[in-house]
Parts: sequence; structure tokens; C-alpha cells
Amino acid sequence: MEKRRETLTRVMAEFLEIPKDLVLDLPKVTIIGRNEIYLENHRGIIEYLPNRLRINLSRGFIEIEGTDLEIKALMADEISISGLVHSVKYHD
Amino acid sequence: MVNRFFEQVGGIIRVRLQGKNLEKVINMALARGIFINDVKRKEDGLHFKIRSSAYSALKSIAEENGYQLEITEKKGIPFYQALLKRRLGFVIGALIFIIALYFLSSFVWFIEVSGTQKVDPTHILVTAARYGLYQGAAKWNFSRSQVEEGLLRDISQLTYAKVDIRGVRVNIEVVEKVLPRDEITGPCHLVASRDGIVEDVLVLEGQANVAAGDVVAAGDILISGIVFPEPSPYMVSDPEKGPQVSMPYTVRARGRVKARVWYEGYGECPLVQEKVIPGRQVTKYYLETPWRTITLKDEKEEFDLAEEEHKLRTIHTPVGDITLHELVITEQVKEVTELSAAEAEIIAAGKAEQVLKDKINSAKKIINTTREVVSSPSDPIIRIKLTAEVIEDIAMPEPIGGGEHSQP
Repeated sequence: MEKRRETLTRVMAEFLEIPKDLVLDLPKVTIIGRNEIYLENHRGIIEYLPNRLRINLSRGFIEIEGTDLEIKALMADEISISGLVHSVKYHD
Repeated sequence: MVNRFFEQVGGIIRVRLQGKNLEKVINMALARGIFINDVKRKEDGLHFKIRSSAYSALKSIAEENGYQLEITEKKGIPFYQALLKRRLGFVIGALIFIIALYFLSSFVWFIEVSGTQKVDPTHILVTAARYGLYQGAAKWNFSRSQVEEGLLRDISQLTYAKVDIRGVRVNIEVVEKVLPRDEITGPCHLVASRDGIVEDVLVLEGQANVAAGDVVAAGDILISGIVFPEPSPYMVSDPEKGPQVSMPYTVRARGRVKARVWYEGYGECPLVQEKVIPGRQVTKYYLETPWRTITLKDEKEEFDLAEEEHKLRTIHTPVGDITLHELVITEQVKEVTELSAAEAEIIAAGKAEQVLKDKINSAKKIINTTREVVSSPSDPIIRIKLTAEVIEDIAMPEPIGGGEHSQP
């Protein structure tokens, strides 16, 4: 049921050419250089360590590895991270 | 930048959170709408910043779940209150300063008038004062457009006026009307503007009263504007009706009457000249306020003969006039020079020539110049008279019967 509804929404979004991050609650990641990451549509923090940051998404989670990671701002669905980024990985 | 400002206004708290699984508290705080900034993990726990208004909510979350919450730093205006209360005098002084600055800058301190040529600037200032714009006037007491309209209405020579307010300085810019010359359009005579001997007469309209060689005095009619028509020799008059008599009629006489006229120039030069030249100089300054006079700079001077120059600079303020006096005292030294008769004559002739030049327009044709020494040899002064003979147009229009100027 849930799966069908999601498929329908995606098809509608594609047909109407609406950005998917708005309709499907998909995460939107903006990386500026190696030092700044903006992440929209997150679902909370799973783990925060200076060298690893895991953030929950609507489906799965994102893992950011780096050194001296800091959360500059944290809001209901937006997060801004700074620090030297080594990798960004998606996990289901 | 804007964020920083709101942080300062609202007040911001830096806290330290200790316990296990700290991410849980952060997620709970997020769900309750608490914004969290600058999260840093250190060995002694999680450090982050929240707004001071969100502190109680965060504290209750932490206590419910068994975490330790500690304030490490407070920033922003709400936390400076105690400090400001202790230094109340400073705060009041700062406020008074700002209010005084605002208050004083809402008055007109200086007025300048620009663009005047024939109209007296003081006349403009007086007129502007009548509409509320004067030195020391409050800006809310007059309206720019009213002053501009008033200036244009009251001073008919102006065609444009602009009042430019720049801080405490007001510049009144005006443009004067350029009026057309007074042209006589009604019937008129041409009369002599000065005495002379007529050389040449050219009549374009009217009837000539003088001929070449006539001596005329100033005011004599040269070309009459009243024309008496002569019966035409080519028209045969009707014998039954008798000779036709036409009535005289008036015209605007036009023409040119060239005449030989004389101009005189006089100059003199004493043989012994006493000249005064400036010597040493002393400057004094003092400030006159409504309460007392303050001497800023004073110097002792011992001069036999001196000239004083007094300069004033006044600022009209709401509390009274403040005047800066500048007194420049210049010593006068006498110097006596003796001239020979020939030298004095040259100087006197030079002066006479200058006088003559001022009288004669350079465009006029000078035929002859004579020089005459008027003084007797025993006089201690040499007097020179220069006479120039000039040929010029002496015709000048004068309306018939009192005249009507500028008739449309």
C-alpha cells in the first residue's frame, strides 16, 4: 500500500515536473568545497562524533566522515555542517 | 550578520550536556522546535548554543531523561542588564548625547544664497525669513515648497528658487529673470544725447530737423516724429475742391545722426607725495558668547598709526549668538616721495587718460586729442586736462508727449 502510494507520487511528480525533494521528502545535499555541507529534509541525528556524523533520512541514513566535524546550525529539517570532509556515504 | 544581531538582542546561552547517547536529546529538542547552533563534541560532553528563551524547555527534556545540563556562557543584551544598571550614568549620558545630536541637527544653522546677480542676497534672506526659514529655525517649522513659492511670489525678479536642505546647512538657489530691453514702439522723436556739431544725417523715418554743420545742444530734436506731408507735385489738385490739405501724422522716427562731440578727462598729481604703506601686523581673536567674552589670542602692540580690520563670524544658535571676532591691526608707515614736474605730468596725464577712456566707449572713433596743463608753474600740483574729439551717433529716441514705453 505504502509502496504503491510512493510510486504514484513519483509518477505524478515526474509528470508535473515538480522537484522531487519537495514532493517525495528526498534529502537535498549541498556541498561547498570540502568544508561545508548543507542537508535538507533530514530526520534527526543518529550519531555525532568529531570524525563521523550519521544523519537519519526518510529512507536510510547518510554517513559523513571527516575531521573536526561541527554542526553549525540545526533546525527541524535543515542541518549545516562544517569541518574537513573525507567522504559522504548513503546506507539503506 | 542578521543572525548575530538577533542573537545579541534575544540573548544566547552556551550549554554543556553530559550523559549517554546525547543525540537523543538533540533530536527531542529539534522535535520541540528548539534551534541548536555550533554543536561541538569534546571529552567532557556536548557543547552547543541555544537561545535563552529555549533554555527552560531544554532543561526539562534533559532532566526527564536523566542528563546533566550546565550553562557555560551567557551572551546578549538581557545578560548585560545588571552591568548597565550599575553604570546608569553612562547609559543616560549616551542617551542624552544621541538626543542632543538629533535635537541640534534639526535646526538650520547656516543659510547660503547662490545665483543672485542683481537681487540683493539679504533681500532674499529677509523674504525667506518671512516664510519661516532663518538661521536658528527648526526644520519642522517651515516647508520647503512654501518658502520656494513665497520667494517667487514676493520677489518678482526671480524666475526660479530652490531650497536645498543638507543637514544643518540650507542653500537657497535662485535664477533671476532676464527682462527684454525697454523698446519704444510708439511714435517718438530722435533727440540729441549731448552737445555737438552735426556731421552727417541719415533719415529712415520721420522728418530731419538738422543738417550737417548745425550746432546742437543736448535735448534738441534731430529727427522729428511728427511728419507734415507735402502736397505731391505729381498729383493735380481738383480746382473745385481747392488745394488738398493733409493732416500731419506721427511716426516712430528712425535714423542716424553722426556728430562731432567732445569728451574731457582730468587728472592731477602732487609734486610731493605722502604715501602710507602697511607695516607690521598683529592679530587678536576673541569669542563672544551670550554669557561672557573669551579672549583666545591677544598681542601687545605699539603703533603710532594703525589700521584696524574687524572681521566677524556669527553663528545663530537657539540659545543665542556666538560670535568670533578677528581683529587685524596693521601698522601704517608714512613714506614721502618727491617728483619732478615732468614725472608728475606723466602720472597726471595717465590718470586723465584713464578717466577719458572710461567715458568713451572703445568702439567710438577718436579724431583728435588735445592735452592742456591747467595748473600754474608755482602750484605744488600738476593738473592735466585731456580733450578728445569723437564722432558718434547722438540720436536718442524720446517718445512724443510724455511717451509710452513698451507698448505691445
